[in-house]
Amino acid sequence: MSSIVLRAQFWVSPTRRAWLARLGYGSLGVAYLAATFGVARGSLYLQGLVLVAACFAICALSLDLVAGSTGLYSLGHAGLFAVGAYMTTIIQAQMGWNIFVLLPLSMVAAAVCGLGLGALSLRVSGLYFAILTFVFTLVVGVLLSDLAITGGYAGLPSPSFPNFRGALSGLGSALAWTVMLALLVAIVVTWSIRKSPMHRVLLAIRDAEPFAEAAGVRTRVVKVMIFTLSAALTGMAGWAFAFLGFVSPGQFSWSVSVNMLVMVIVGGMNTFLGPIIGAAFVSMFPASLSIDPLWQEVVFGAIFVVVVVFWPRGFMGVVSSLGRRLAPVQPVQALRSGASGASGEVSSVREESALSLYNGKCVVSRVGSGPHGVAVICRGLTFHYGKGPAVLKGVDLTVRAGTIHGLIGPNGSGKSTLADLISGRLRPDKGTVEVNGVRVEQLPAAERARHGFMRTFQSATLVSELSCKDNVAVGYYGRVGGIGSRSLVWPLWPGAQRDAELLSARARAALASVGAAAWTEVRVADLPHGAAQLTQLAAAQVSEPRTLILDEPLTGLSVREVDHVGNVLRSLRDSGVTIILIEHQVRFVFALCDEVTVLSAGEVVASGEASQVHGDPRVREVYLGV
Amino acid sequence: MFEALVTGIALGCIYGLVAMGFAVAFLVTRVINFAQGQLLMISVMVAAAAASAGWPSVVAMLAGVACAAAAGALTYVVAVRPVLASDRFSFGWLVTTLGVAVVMENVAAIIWGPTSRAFPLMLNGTSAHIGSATVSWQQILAVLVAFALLSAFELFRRRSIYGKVSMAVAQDPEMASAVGANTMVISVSAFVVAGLLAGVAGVLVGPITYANPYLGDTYGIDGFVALMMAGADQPAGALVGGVLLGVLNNEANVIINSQASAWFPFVVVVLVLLVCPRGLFSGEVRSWLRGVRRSLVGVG
Amino acid sequence: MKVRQVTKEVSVAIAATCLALSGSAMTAGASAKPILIGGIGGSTGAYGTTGVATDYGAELAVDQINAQGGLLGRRVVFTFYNDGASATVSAQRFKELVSNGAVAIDGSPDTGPVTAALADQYHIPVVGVDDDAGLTIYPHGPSKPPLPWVWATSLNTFAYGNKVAEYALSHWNSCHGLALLHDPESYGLGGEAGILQVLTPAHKKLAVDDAITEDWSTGATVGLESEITKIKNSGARCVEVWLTPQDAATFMETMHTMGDNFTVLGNDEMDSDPTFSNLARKAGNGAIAPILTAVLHPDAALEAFNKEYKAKFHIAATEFSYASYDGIMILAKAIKVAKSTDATAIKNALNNLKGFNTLMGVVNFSPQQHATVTTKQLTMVRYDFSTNSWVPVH
Repeated sequence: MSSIVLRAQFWVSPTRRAWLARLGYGSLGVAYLAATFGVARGSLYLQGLVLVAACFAICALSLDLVAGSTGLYSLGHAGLFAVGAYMTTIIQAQMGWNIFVLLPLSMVAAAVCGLGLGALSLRVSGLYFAILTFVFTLVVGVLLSDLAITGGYAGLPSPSFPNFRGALSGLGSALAWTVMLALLVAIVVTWSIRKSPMHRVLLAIRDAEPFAEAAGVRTRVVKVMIFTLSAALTGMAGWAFAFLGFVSPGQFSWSVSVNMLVMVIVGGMNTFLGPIIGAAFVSMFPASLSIDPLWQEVVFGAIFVVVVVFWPRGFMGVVSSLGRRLAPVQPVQALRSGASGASGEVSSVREESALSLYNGKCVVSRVGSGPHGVAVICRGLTFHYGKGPAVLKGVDLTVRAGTIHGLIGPNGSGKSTLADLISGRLRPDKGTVEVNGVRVEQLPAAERARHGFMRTFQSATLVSELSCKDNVAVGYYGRVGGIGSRSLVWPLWPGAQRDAELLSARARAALASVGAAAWTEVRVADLPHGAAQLTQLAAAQVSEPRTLILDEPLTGLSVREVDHVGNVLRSLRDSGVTIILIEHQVRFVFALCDEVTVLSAGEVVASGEASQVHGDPRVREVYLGV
Repeated sequence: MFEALVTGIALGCIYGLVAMGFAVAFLVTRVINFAQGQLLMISVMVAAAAASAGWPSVVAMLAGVACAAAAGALTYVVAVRPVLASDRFSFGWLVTTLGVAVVMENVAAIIWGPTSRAFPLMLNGTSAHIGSATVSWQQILAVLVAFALLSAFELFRRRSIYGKVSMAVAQDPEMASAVGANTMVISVSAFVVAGLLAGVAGVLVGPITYANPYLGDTYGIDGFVALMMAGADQPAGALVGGVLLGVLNNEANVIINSQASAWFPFVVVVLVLLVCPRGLFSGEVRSWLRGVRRSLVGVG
Repeated sequence: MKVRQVTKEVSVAIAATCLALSGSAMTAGASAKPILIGGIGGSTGAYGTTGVATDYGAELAVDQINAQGGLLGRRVVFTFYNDGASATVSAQRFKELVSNGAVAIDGSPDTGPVTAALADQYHIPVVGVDDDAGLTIYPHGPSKPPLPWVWATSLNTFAYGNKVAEYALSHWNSCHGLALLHDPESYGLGGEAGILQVLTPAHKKLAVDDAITEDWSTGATVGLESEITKIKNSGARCVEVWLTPQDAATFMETMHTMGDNFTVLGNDEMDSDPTFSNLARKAGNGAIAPILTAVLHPDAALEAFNKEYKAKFHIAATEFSYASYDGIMILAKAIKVAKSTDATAIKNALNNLKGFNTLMGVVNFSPQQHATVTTKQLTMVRYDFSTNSWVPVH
C-alpha cells in the first residue's frame, strides 16, 4: 500500500495524495464490511471457521504489538484470552448480566492482568520475561481446570448471543457482525499505532532502549501501557470467543500461547497483515483440510519449519520478496558528507522553534541558571559495578553553563561511567549530581531528558530498520505532548498530521544542521558508522536541550566531518547550550573546549581552563606514563 | 511421606535429565528446543519397537538413545541453524523447533500407532527397601544414572578443551569462530548431548509410562518447568530443579490432596520466579549468596 | 468528515450488491437430497482408536441401511470429522454438519460435553457414542433427568460403577472395604457416582476416594506409590482403579513391585480392547472388570457384525464400534417410526423407543432413560494371563 503511495508522490501533489490514501482506506473499509456481510449471511460452517480465525487474529495483532514492535515476547496471551472468555461465560451464567456489559468488564479484567505482566517486564526481559508469562498461562490453566465455578476440565457451554430482530434480521448473524466489528476495532487500533510516531518509539524501545531513554521516552511507562493495551484487546477477543460454542481449559493451554506467537512469526512480525494471515493460517488449517489427520499434522509442522527457514520474515516476507522481484527498489544514492555552513542551519532551527505552531504541552522545564552560572555539578561520585573495585572514586565535576567542557583520560578511567551517572543510565553508590540546579542522581534517564538534558552513546545504537529522520524524530517525541494517547486513533485525529509533519521537519532540520542531510531518508542499517554518529548527534539536539553529553562523537568520522562537528558544537555553545564532550582525539578537545577535566583510574587528575590543563605535567604523566 | 520423597526424587531425575537437555542446548546456542520432549519419546518408541522385534533389551535401549541423539542433531541442522544463520537474535527457532516437534510426534504415531505399546520391564519388577519406603530398582537406577551423567557433564565442561570451547561459543559465537572454533560442530554436539540426555531419560521411565508417541508433550513441559525454576543456562541446576519438581509433585499429592500435583508445583514456580526471575541457580542468586556468606563471615 | 461521507455512499452501493449475490447463494441446492448423519470423534491422539471405531461402526450401519433401500426412500450419507479431542474443532465441525443439514450427530467420544451442549443449543439429536454416557448426559447425577437432546449408547459409567460396587458388596468380607482411584473428569466422576449409588443405600463407605490427575494424551501417570501405601493403610483389600488402561497397568505393576496384592477392579476400558492386557501382561493377572455380556457371549448377530467389520476395515471391531453402530440403528428406527427427519419428531420417537434389539442388548428409552447400558447387560470377568483372555467370575 505504502509503495503505491510513494510512487504516486512523484506526480501527485501532497493534498491529492492524502485524498488518494483516504479513498484507498475507505474502500478497504467498505470491502471489509461487505466481507462481513457475506460471512454473516453464510453457512454456519463458514462462520465457525472465520469467526474463530477472527478471534485469533485479534490476539495475534495485539501480540505483535508487544512482541514484534516492542520486543516483549509474551507467552501469556492465551491466559489473557482465557480471562476474557471465562469472565464472560461465568458471569453470564452466574449473574445473568447483559453480555455487552461484560465486554468492558472482560477487557478490564484482562487489562489488569496485563498491567501485572507488563510490570514484570520491567524486572526481566527477553527469554526470562517470556518464561514468566508462560507461567502465567500455566497458572490460569490450572485454575480453570480445578475450580468448580469454571466447570473443571469439561468446561462451560457458551452464553447465547441475541439475534437481530425485525428489519435488521436481513443482515444475518448478529454474532458474526459483532466479532468482525471487534476485529475491525483491533485492526484500526494497531494500524493507527503503526502509523503514528509512537510506533517508532516502540521500535526504539525494542532495539535501542538506552537511546530511547536518553531521548526522554519513559520506557517503563510505555512498556507497561502497551502491554496493558495488548491485554485489553486480547480480553476483547476472549469475550467474542466465548460465544462461539464452548469454553474449556484445553482451548487456552500453554500450547495455544505458543501457537499465537507462531501465528505472529509465521505471518510476519512487525507487519500489518502478517499477524492476520498467520492467525488465519494456523487456526483454519486444522479444520479445513480433510486428508488423513496424522499426515495433516505432519504437513502443518513441516510448513512451520519451511516457511520460517526460507522466509525469516514469514508469509509477509514471501510477499515482499515476490514484490521486490516485480518492482526492484532503486539503489541508494552515493553518499557525500554535507559540509554546509553549520551556523546558518543552527540559527534557522532556533528560529523555527520560536515559530512553532503546536499546541502540545511544553514538557521541558525552564528551571535553570543564567549563562554564567553552573550547568552541572557532581560532588563525590563513587560507583562500583556489582561487587568489583570502584570505577569512580569521589569524583567532583563542575561544568559552567554555556561552555564546552572536555572530559578526557586513558581507557578504563571511568569517562563513560561518569557520563552514564550524569545522564541517568546508572545510579551512583555515593555522591550527588545537579543539573541546572536540580538534584537528579536518583531520577531515571527519561526524566533527566525532560529537564533539558541529552546525550549520545559511544556505540551508536539506533533502530536499524528505520531511516535517520525517524530515529532523530524519537528525540523530539517528548516535546510533542500526547503522542502516546493519541496513537490509538492517530490517522483520524485532527491535529495528528500537523504534529507528524512538525516532527518530520524538526528532524530534517536537525540532520541538516549536523551535515547529515544527505542521509535523511536512508535506513540506519545502510549507514557508515560516521553517519550513525552524526544521526545520534542530531537526535540529541533536536529537542533543544540545555545540556548535552557527547560520548566519543567523532569515532569513525573523516577529517572534514570532524571539523564540521566542531563548528556545530561551537554554534550550539554560542546559543547557550552546555556541552560535556568525552573524546580520545586530544588535539580536538583542547582546540575546542573551554574547560577540560582529566580522569585517571576513577579519579580527577586535573580540571580547569583548557590551556592550563594542557600544560599540566600530571596530565602528561597520566597519558604517557612519564 | 518418606515414600513420596524417595519416589519423587527418582521421578524428578527423569524430569531433571530432560531439563538438563534443554539447558545444554540453550547454554551453547541460546535456543530453547521445543522438540526436546519428542527426543525422549523417540528413544522410548525405538527401544520398544526394537524389543518387540526380538532385540535384547539392552541393545534396544542403546538403539533408542542413539536415535534420540541423532534426532537432536537433525533438529539443530534443519530447524535451528538456518534460522540463526539469517539473524542471530531472531526468535524464529520457536516456530521451527515446534514444527519439528509436531512432525516427530505425528510421524511416530503414523509408524507405531497412537496407542501405548509395551516396554521392556528392565528393573521395574524388583524392589528394594529404603527405610520405610519401598522402591523399585528401576527408580534407584534412574537416580544413579542421572547423577553419573551430571558428574560426567560437569567434568567434561570444566576440564576438557572441548568443554571450554563450548563455553566460549556460548558466550560469543562470532569471537569463538574467529579464534578457530568450529561453531557448527560445537552446536550440533550440544544438541546431540541434549538428545542423549532425553534418550536416557526415556529408557529409564519407559517401563512405567509405556511407549506412546504423545509422551513428548508431557515430559517436555515437565522438563521445561524444571528448567524455569533452575535457570535456563544451568545444566547442573536443571537436574536439581527436576528433582525438586518431582518431589513437589509427589509430596503435594500426599500432603495436600491427590490432585494437588496439578497446581502446587506451579505455585512454587511462581514464587521462585517472582523472587529470582532468572532461576534459582542463576548468576544473580549465586552472587547474592556470596554476598550473604561474606557478610556472615564478616559478622562472625 | 468527508471520509465518512464517501465511505457511507460507497458502502451502501456495495452492500446492495452483496445482498443480491448472497441471496442467490442461499437458495442453491434445494432439491431432494440424501439424509445426512454427522459423526464427530477423535481419530488422532492416544485415543484415536475410539474415534476410528465410532466412524467405522456408523459407516457399517449406514451401508446396511442403504443396502436395504435407505430411510424414507432416501439414501443415507454419513460424514465423519476428526475433532482431535479439541473442543474448538468439535464445535466448528458440529456447526458445519448442522449447516449442511445433518439430522443427527453421532459423537463425540472425546468431546462429549461439547456435542451434548450443542445438541441442546441447536435442538439436534445427538446419538451413539457420547463420551461416558454418564455425567455427560446426566450432568446432575444418575437420579436426575438427562439432557433432553442426547441419547447415548456408549458404555454408561453409572452402570459399570453400579456393577463394580455390587461385586464389592457381595465380597465385602474378603474385601474389608473398597478403595477408589478415579480421574477427575466426567468419566471418573461418573464411575464414582455409579459406585456410590450402590454403596450408600447399603450403608457402606469408600475406604479411600481419591481423584488422580491423569495425562489423557499419554495416559501415563507416575507417582502411584503413595496411593498404594494409603490404600494399604486403610485396610481395604479391594481397589477400583477407574483410570486409563495404561495407568491401571502401571498401578498393578507398581503394586506388585511394592509387594502388595490387592484385588484390583477396573472399568469398561480395561477389557474393551487389549491395551491393558498388552501393557500389564503378567502383572495384570487377576484384574476384574465388568464387560458387556453380549461381547462375552456373542450371539449370531454380533459374530456376523464382527466378520463384516473385519472384512471391510481390516481391523477388529471394538465395543465403541458396536455402540456407534447401535446408535445409528436406533436413530434409523426412530426416523422410521416418526416417518420424518424433523428434529422434534425424532426426539419424541426416541423417547418412546421400547424393546428394540441392538448388538449390545435390548434398548428401552424414556424421557428419563437416555442411556442404553444397564447392569443387567454386564458380567464381571477376570483377566487370565496364561490364556490372555477374560474369563467370567463367579
